[in-house]
Amino acid sequence: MYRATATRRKARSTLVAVAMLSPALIALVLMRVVPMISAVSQSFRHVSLATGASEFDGLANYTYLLTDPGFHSVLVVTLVFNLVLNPAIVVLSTALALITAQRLPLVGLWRSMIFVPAAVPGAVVALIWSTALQPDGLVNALLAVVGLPPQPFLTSASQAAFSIGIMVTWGALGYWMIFVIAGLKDIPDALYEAAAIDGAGWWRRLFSITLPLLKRPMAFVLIACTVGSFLLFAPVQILTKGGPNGSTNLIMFDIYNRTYLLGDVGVGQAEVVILMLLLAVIVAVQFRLLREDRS
Amino acid sequence: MGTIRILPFAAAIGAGVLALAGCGGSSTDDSGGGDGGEITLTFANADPAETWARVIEGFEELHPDITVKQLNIPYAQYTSTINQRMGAGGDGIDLMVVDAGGAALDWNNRGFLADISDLREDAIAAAVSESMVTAREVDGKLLALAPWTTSQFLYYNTDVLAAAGVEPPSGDPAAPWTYEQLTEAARAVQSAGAAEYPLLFDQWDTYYQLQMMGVSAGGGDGIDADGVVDFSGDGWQRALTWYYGLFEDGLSPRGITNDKNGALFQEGKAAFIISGPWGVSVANAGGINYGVAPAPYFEGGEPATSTDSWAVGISSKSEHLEAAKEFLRYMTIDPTGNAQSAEVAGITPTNTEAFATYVEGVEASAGAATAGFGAILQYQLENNAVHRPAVVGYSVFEPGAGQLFSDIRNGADPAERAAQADEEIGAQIERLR
Repeated sequence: MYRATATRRKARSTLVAVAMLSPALIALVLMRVVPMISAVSQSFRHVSLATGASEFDGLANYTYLLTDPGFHSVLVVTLVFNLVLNPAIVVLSTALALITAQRLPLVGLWRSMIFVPAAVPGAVVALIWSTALQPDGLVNALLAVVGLPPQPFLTSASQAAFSIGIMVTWGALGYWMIFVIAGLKDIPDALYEAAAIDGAGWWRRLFSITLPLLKRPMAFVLIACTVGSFLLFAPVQILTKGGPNGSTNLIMFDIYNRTYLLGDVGVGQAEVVILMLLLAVIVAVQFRLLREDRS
Repeated sequence: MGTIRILPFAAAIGAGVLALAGCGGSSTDDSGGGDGGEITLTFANADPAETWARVIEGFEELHPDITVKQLNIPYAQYTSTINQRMGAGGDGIDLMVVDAGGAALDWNNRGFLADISDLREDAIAAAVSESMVTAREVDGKLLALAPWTTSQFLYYNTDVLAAAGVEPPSGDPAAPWTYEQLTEAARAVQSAGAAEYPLLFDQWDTYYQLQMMGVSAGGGDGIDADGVVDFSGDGWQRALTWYYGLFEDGLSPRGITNDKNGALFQEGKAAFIISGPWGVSVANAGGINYGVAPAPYFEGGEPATSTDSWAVGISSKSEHLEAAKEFLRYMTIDPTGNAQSAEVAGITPTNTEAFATYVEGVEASAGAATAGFGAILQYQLENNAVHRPAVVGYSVFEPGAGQLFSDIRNGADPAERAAQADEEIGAQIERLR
């Protein structure tokens, strides 16, 4: 009798749990799972521009993409951009966290000033920088003050990706710095006190205590930042449209371009699938690094 | 007890989410079914709702049994949304805006647009020029009517030209400057240091802005009826080399985005800007002394001016074809409705009477500066307006051309980059056939 009541109660709790979770689960299915299945299914179809007819086309979209020199260039641009940008953001946000963790005057103000750009929407950041980086803009005026020649920035194939990297870093540093500061606060003071008694200097404490114990928050920042950077779209769409000469044609912009501008939905969705796989591999590798750290 | 009460509550939330999700697909509230009762028309467009609110209001006052509901779709997603909605049965859409270029052809091939040829005669009689109606015909069928039109002008800052000792261009519609004369004048402004920017375009790197140069130089549209792209021929190479030279020589700036050009002219920082009819209100807002001249052409070539704007078509799947035609007739053929359609956007209406009122208003807005505006606009629309080509693959061609122009502006070699564009855009069109 008692057992039957207990079973009923357990079943009811499960039902309640399912019912409480259902809004989130339904939203998850509708907004993540269904679009993902739709992307995968459309990636195997070809839509005729002339008639709008859609037909199953096997692996043709993937074959086309993987043999298209344009897509190779997109992959190279995206990977190089991420290989440079993400480690730079991790190193710089850690450095800023370490600096603002010192007993500096007005430290709260400095931290806030570093964080403020993170609260500005990406499109606004892009517009501010587009004005600053135009050939007769603020940045070139500053370069002229120190006697340097004007730079073409966003109008040059060799500088455009770098310029976008700078503006992304400017917007992201403060945000990621907060996570590193949280990690710094977690390091027990006792360790520093013990090191001080042993006569360790600032640098020694940094390399033997701070950085090893910051490895987890730094790894988190690297993973989250990598995902964000792979999905970068607004600055490219607003500032360069992938140019000059494809030098800023990052994968998200290329997907948008193929799907919405060229109307090549099948290839656009195949590219989405490739991006998902690429991100899954990169994140899996980064998680592995995180796990080793835990052991 | 508490858990039992929570259960239906949570289930209700879940059901609510499902119901919300289910709502996403349909937008037509067809109360009455159209059998003499109330009719609701859904009008899909890519503008903010207030743009069309005035003409809808005017139409509803005359037709109390018809309600027009807007479906405002962001411009960037407009074509793909219409393709998707109409491809899935077109449920709910009665009228839709149709972009210039290949949109009417693409949507005709897909069976999205109703044949409205019975409006043709009245539309031509009411329009400023016949070609603004016939440009939307495919295979002898009229598929859309344009309530709005555009043209291109050469605006100049009289104070800047005086400081540089440059005689301003004539306002005679039949005697435009050549691009060569314009370049020479821009150089004089540059040498005199009379303005920061000798020459601006309203829309850098867009096909709409540059098509007239290619056509004037004898290069045609850059794409033929079979989808063969040719920016490498002599005509387009002449136009593209001229464009390239403007930036190489510092007569026009790199790195300035399209949202800033009007403001730079308005602030007196530029000597010339090639822009549309909207350039008048932009220039007026700055309080500068300026004048308006016809758009230039290439020496030895034909005068050509870019034109067109949105047109409006009727869905072939509409259950209210007659009511939809009535609304389309009101916003294009009826002078009052046509004027109302253009009122908020401040754009040029296509109806002769509405056009005359619009021109009068523009000319009154700036005195001597815009005295010749109406004559130039009418002359260009009637004599040398170039419509964007209605060819299969236009939707691929236009963004590809934009990337080509942008790269040339940033210093890419016109011949090499054009050859690359011919091949890439052509291959992309071929793939999508």
